[in-house]
Amino acid sequence: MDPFNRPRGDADIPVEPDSDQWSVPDLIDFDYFVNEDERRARESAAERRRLAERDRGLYRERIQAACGKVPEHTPRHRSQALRRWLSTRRRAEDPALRGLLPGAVYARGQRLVTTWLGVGGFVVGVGVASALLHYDGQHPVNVSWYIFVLVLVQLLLVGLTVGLWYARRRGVIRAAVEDFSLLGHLIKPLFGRTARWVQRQRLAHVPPDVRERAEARQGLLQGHYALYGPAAYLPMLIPVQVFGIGFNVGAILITVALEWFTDLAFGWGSALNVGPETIHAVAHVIALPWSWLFGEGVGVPTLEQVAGTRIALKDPLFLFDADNLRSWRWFLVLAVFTYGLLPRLALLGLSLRKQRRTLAELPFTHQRTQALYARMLTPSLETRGDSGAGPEMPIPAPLQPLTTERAAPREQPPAPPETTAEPKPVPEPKPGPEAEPAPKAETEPKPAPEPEPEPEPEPKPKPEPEPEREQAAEPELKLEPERKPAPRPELALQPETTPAPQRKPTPAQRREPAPKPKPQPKPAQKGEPKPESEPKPEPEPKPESKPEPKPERKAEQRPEPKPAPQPRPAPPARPSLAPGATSPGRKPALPEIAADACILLIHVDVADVLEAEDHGRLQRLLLEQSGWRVAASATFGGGRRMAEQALGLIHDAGWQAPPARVALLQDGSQPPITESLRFLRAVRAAAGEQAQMLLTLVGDPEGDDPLPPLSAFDFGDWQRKIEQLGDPYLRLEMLTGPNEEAV
Amino acid sequence: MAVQATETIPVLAIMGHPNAGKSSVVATLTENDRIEIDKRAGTTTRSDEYPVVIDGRTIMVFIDTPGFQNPSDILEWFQAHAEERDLAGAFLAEHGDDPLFSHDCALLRPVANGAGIILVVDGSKRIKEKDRTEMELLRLTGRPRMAILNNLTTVDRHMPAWQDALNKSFNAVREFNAHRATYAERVALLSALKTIDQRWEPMLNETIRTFEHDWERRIDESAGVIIELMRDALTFKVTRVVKVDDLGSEDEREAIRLRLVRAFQDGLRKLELDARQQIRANFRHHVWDLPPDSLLSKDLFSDEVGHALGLTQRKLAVAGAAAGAAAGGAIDLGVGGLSFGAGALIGAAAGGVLGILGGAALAKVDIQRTLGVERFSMGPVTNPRFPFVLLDRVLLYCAQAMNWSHGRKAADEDAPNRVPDRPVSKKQGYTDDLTSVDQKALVKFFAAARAGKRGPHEEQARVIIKGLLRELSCGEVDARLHL
Repeated sequence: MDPFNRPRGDADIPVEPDSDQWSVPDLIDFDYFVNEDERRARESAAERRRLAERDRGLYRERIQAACGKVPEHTPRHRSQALRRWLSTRRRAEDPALRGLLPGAVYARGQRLVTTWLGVGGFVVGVGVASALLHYDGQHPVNVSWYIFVLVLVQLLLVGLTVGLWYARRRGVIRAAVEDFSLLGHLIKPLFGRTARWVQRQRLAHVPPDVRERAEARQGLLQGHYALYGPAAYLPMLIPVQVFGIGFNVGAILITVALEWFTDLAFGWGSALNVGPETIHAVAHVIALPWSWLFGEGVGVPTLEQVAGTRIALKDPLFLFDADNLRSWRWFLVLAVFTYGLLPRLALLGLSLRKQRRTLAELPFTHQRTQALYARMLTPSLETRGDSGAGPEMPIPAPLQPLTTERAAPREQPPAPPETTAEPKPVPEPKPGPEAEPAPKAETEPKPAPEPEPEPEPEPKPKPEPEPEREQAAEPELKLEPERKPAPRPELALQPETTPAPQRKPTPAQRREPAPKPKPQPKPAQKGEPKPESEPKPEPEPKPESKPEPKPERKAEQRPEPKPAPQPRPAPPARPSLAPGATSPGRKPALPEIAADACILLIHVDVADVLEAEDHGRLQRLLLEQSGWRVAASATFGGGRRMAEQALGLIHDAGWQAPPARVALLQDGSQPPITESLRFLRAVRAAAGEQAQMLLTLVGDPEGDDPLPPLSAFDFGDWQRKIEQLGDPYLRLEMLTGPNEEAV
Repeated sequence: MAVQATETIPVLAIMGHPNAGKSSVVATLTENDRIEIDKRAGTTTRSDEYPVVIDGRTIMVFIDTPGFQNPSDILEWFQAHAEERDLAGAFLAEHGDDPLFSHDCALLRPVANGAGIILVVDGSKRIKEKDRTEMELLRLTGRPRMAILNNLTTVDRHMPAWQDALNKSFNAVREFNAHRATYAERVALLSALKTIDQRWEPMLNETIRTFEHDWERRIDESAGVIIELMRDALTFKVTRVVKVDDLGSEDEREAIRLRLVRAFQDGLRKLELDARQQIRANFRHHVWDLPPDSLLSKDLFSDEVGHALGLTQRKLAVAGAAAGAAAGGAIDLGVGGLSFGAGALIGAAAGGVLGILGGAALAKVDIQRTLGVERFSMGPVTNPRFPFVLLDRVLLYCAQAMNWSHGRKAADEDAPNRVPDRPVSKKQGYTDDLTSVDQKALVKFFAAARAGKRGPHEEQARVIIKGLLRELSCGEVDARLHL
């Protein structure tokens, strides 16, 4: 009973056995824990996540199995799961603080209050009964008063309680009960106050560090014991019953004791004309419950005894028969027992049962509880992983010129033969693990040989390009059907090794045509030697090449390649000009490429949308951009076969003014991939180390314009990759007309 | 890359050529806005795994692959080795250490390990050669495969062609805008995955169920945040105590009043901001923030917000009168805020307030003089319109947070042909569209909240808000992202 001599409370808060039963202290603790969680959840999202993880973890590890097969989302499951959750939370609580949990404190307070009420009831009962049984020897104890106070009033109170209990759901009554109930106004605060007092006592007897911890814990000591729902007033009802029982026990005991130890005279009287028969009949009715056990003369006075105890004020007491005067004693005791104690006991039992049932049926659908329940049942969902940048996309190393004319050169197998075949000692072609070093290797050797970009403005206007392109266009159309039946069933790797030997002769062939470099002087004859007249190599060619509409533009564009406007110092070193070289299976009609003309390679995706009339515009644009007419064209981008044809065209063309001139038209809206870069390498290999290559990009046609400008963003993408190729003779441009602007 | 696809765990490799939006799709599907999405091509340069972990158990894995670098070669190799049973594996065996094929190997590796394939194509562009190549080579792998038509623009004339082409090679084809996909669309996409491989059904079902659970929890928490915000805002009060001696003139008094008003407004703004932070985190946004031209970026007390959101005066009067609970507010309405003496009226600094609040003061300024000090206090909010405006704002924020795809951060919001979020509807909040019964319930809730009571009205309001959020996530109610 000493609430503060066991501050740790270990004794009365046993480490919870797992239980599915709720008690009122459980509810209070539950409320406390939920409150605490809610407060933390409000603090931050991280905290919420932690709570969710914790509760889900508890559920999965401890609770789920215990709940067995009870289906989720049913009231029973909810109640059980939450009860188990509470047990786990309590167990996880700091043992030093466990005794200070509001539930424990409340339980202790409730016990104290109940005890006090019981004792108080006993004392009051003793007081009331002894007052009623006061006997001074002059006047007998008035039975009517005793019965009225101890039986009738009590019965009324019990009746009121029961009546209110059943009527409590009716609106008016409910309000009345809530507002005026003794329970609510007296006992509830009493509970709270006692609990707080208990807590203070406990706290005072706790080591300072524990006290500090407890005080730091918000909500732990707030002494707020609100309950919700039907569970709120039942706990109040029980102590009241205990009080009533104490009262009745006290009354009965004192009555018995007085009767035992003193001689009491009982009597009755009335100012009305009430006969003993009436009183006897009333007494009999009252005694009905026990008359079968204690009959006439014992449990209830006989008519004679009743008549003999009628008190008339005029008659002195000694006139009465003493036995008659005592005859009421057991009747009174039995009446209090039956109508006072038994109903209280019954009410207590009922209240306890009701409380248990109410607690068992609590729905736990309060919104805060819902959140907790949801946390337990909601599987934790996590999507992990963070992307990192791995190696950049591979940049193909330059291929050895002369040997490879294919779109898809497989490095490893063909490499050895190629290198051996090459006159060059540098084994560049090896696509080492690193793509970057390769381009460097290329750029370094290059500086000396100058690209002499537009020296070949030969006055050979060639109107043929159109028909030629049509020829070239044919393969595009066939593309789809072709590719599906696997145009060439050769294994990608083997063919390379096999053709390699064939190609070996080509370098030699090419070197024979090497004389062609001689034509180069031509430009010098026509205009001035290009090297010196760097600023205006164009103007001169212009007059000759009529089709060029815009001399200024060219002049602007030229400067880029010019930086090294020297005539090739080593024409023989450029073996790539191999106009005579025919690879097997190539068209016998080799295009002669005039000095101001180029071969145009069009990506299939662009070629697909080009109409006949668009070609004219394309050529015009190209001319503006490069000063080249289109001598021949082919498509690429549709697999190896197509690529081989295109490369073969370059390779086999009869180049005038040798360093070959190749323009590529690519769909710039498709980002550059290794495959496209490798094709550029292959073109480079086929055209020669110093051949002029111009890569023009168009955008993706969305409207009527088949050659829309490219977005600056996409262009930037290409620019980066082309820079990484490190090919000094490869120029990247956007295909834009004078009026067209890059978006 | 250690994921071994067992029979039951769906492993899905998201493929496509560079820049097709693979990472956006993964980010949106897994609600992971930390995935680096770069508009530059080839940003994802190795296969990254994004497992979906439920209760610590990996239940499905998305693999974000680099784009194809040599599709034609792969296809030709596949065609040349048609007799191989496991083409992807054989290709890897042969090219595994070829640096030129490093990306292609990285992306074929999951396929060789048994992953299903999700091909992402950009439906706004026409079908290119490379696309055909990729479709064909993926078909040759023989894995369960689905194609996602990711069209971020309004250009849809290529879509039929794509559908036809994809249908030939893929078990399922779905349109999915990785930048606009709502929760419902995400779940629908996951459901569709069941159709491409029946063995995945149990795991996918669990995933979907968990997604749904998780979403419901978020709605719940968000509704809680909103209710909390309303309660806090409607009981918010600012007090300032000034010694009478310091109050020299009327001007000073006026200045204090202005400061009080400002503090009051700032307090409300802060409450709103806090609620937003919580909602934002709720929907797993780390990156997203409001566009600067959004109505939500405007000041809470600006005219523009006041005009666009909340109830119209008429509806408000009806709801308020019918609810009977806002009698005070109704009176304020009737007299347009003139019921407060000049001293109680919010000063000139709050000029804007008059606009938003329909003429009525936001809250009363109360001055008490005792023992040589004056207590200036303002609040709680009495204006009947304000709670609706605030509620609309936070609902709108919620709508945007839940409908903002996680893969959207690199979106080109200025592209002229991007998909508009929805056909632009009227500039208006949600509360105005509620039924009058709901509006009445809200009025009652506001009144109860103002009085600091929690009760059935709060639950009712919660139900209304949750219902609205649910409809928003299914797209039944327009998210009004343009606001």
